[in-house]
Amino acid sequence: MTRRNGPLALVFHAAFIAFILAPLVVVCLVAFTPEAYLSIPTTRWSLRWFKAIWGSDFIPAFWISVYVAAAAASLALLVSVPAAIATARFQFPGREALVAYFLSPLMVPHVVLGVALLRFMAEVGLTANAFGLIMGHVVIIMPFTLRLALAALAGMDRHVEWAAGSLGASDLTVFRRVTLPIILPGLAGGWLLAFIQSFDELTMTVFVASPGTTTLPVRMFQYITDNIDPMVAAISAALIGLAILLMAVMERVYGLERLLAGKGGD
Amino acid sequence: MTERRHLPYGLSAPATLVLTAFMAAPLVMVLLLSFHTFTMATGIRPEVSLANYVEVLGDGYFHTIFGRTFLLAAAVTGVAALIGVPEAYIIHRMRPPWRSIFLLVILGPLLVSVVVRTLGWAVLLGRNGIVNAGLTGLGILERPAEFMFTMTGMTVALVHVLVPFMVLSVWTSLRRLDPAVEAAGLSLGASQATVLRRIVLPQAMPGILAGSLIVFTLAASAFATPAIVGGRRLKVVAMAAYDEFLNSQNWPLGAAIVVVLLVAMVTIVVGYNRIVERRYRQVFQ
Amino acid sequence: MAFLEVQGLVKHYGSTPAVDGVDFTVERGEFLSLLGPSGCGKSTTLMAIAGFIEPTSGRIAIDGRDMAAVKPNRRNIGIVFQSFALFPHMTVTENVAFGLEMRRVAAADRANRVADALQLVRLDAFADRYPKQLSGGQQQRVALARALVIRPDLLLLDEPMSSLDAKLRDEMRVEIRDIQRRVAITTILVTHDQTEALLMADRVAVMDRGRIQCIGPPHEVYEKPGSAFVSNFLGRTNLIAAEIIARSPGRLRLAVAGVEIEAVGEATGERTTLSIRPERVAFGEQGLPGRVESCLFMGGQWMYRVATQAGELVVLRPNEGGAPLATGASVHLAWPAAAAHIVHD
Repeated sequence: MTRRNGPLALVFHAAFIAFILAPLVVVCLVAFTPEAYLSIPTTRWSLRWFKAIWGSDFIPAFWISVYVAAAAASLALLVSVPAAIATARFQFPGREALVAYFLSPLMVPHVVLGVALLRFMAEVGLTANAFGLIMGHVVIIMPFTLRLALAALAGMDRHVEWAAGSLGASDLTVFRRVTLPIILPGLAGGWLLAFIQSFDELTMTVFVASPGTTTLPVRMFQYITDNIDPMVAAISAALIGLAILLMAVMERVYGLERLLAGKGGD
Repeated sequence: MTERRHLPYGLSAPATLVLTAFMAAPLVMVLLLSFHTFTMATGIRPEVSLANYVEVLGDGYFHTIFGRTFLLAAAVTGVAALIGVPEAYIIHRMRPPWRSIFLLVILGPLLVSVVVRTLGWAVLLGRNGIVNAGLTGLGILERPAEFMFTMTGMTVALVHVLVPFMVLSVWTSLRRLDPAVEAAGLSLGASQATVLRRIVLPQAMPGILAGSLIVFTLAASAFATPAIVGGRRLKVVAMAAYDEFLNSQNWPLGAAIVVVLLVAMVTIVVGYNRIVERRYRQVFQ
Repeated sequence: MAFLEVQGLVKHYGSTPAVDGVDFTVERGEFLSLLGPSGCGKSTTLMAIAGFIEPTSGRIAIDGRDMAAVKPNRRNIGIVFQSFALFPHMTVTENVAFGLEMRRVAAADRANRVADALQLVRLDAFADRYPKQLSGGQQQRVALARALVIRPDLLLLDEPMSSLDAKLRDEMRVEIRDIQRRVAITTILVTHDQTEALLMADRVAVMDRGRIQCIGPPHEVYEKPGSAFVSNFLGRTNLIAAEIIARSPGRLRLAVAGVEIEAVGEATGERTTLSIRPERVAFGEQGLPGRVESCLFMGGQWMYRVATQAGELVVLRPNEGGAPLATGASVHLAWPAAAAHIVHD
């Protein structure tokens, strides 16, 4: 196991890491340009583009993203925890099918979900309403919150619940006083991951976003398709900084790779 | 005890309800919508017709778009496997502090919006971008080449977005590999290359296959990256659906496009899993 | 009427029976151990008594009251689990107080009873620690205090010693037994360790394949195992094939490899199997001839393997300070008639 990677492997590795980091580093560099066009600052650095963000419509978009993500992550967790308890703690007819159903949003491309949600909201009369958007995000992130809730339950000694039961606690008391406090750290991790997932979601959101529900990724996408200037780079750099901060926190608390095992993509 | 019998259903009810109301029902609505007709003059008319499917499946314009999308997805999957598998193995062989550091570097970008990651590529690949500056500066190219709005550009950017899934998937299956097995292979006189081919690769295969499926499905339905790097000129399926819904306002046609996409994806996933399972049943018997 | 009655207990998982018709009773204040290999159904039986597993059929009654309709949290049973199952987010005091809180015991009374329970298990100094700050033995004492403080009708111990190291295990066996006697609580211990079962319990029930094979006081079960499984599971034994020559009530004359011997028990047919404990076999002038194959020193005892016409026999002799018999020595093996028991398969 302690066999080293050869020089060729290390060169490949360096190139791979450079490939991974290049676009992110470039964005961060461009964000500090003093010029009005995309360029990498060499002699002079400036914060003018960061200052330009304030007062732009990216700020309200950011807050919409935060609200939507917080609401969606909380709702997803709220419905996932009972579902996780049902499927992890009980044997009942239809259990397998139910688990498959709960995980099925993973099978449906976000573009399809976006179209479906747009049609649904038009039919039900929810257009330009954050509720529909939030519920769409709940659908997308529920498989992940469910998996993390299941993992938290699986990592817990079942006999601890039985012990509480034998001491006279009712099912509800067992959950409130024993199960919940024990799985809470796992649930918090799930919430955070769901929040990020919802915050970053573009493909579905772009279909249903209205002026009142334009999230940050959607606003950035619309902006970029028109033109690319150093201001979007500055926003991107700020988001990268936030992600690094989050990563540091999550690595401290949970070990990041375990959490990322459950994250989806585009 | 009877009340406990109903308890799991009660506990699952909220999640089931949310999924049914906001996923299953809307999907059924889209399916119905795809059979309706649309003209500029009349708007959407609730008749039942296969016209949209005839158009999506019969028109050369859509053939190009679907062909391009699946070609792109295949290319992205191939490249991601080609660079992701060796990288996963290299990570696997690293010592503890380095291993987690580089896993973090590779997986970390997943926390950043695809829009941000793609923006980086737009800056890098643009006509006046860093790649062109480097290539012309080194004398490799005489004049700046166009990477934006090309298949190459889309492939590179999508590989960047999706390769972490490949690395993660392969690394997970390598982690189950007993390190002593490799040592045993070497001690029996096999060369490093033979050990890789005969011992490591077969055991990494489930991870490679699972990773390929994830990368392929995400690439085939990707929206942001192809839209930004490929633009209107190189439309993919997701982009085509977006245009029908939000620009042309021909919702029934857009619905038919996504239904075809969904059916194709589910067929591929189910078929792929079945083939993989059959292969593996033979391997393990 | 016995305090705990288990009648015809059956539990199926799918079509495979985990428990396949178990009957036994436990008197008030008695200590019973359920002994058997893993998968024999002993833990399932215990959890059915606790109410966490719903039996397929059968009756469980505590103090004459049928438990079928009683939920686990209304049975007033104290349980010590194999993993101890302490509440990781509560201190020792909070763990022990939990059951009293559920019973709405007044705060002052609660504090007194928790303090008494912690004193009983000698943990008064650790009241404010969290479980992960305690050693394995201390955690087990918390689990025991938590189960006892509610003054349960019945105490169930599910392999409570198996996650402790060997030395601690010996100490805890004695300690738990002493506490059980002191508070005089009806107790069932589930274990796969025969020493533990024999040492701690008033009666031992040996289980195999979902059934009780044999039940009785430890020395009786050990001496008269009844079946080949029980005699093998409860310590080491020699199983010897024998021909029946003559019978009298409760006694048999047998031939083992041509040598005539006597044995205790009843048997039908012409052939039977004898069980003889290694420590009951002695070297003598007469008896079954054999040759010493090997000799292992075990501290307090010597363990010989002796090849005979009836197969290889194990003989345990106390170490009295002298030199052992040499390998290859010719010997005769003899045992008292009362040490040879007829066993059935």
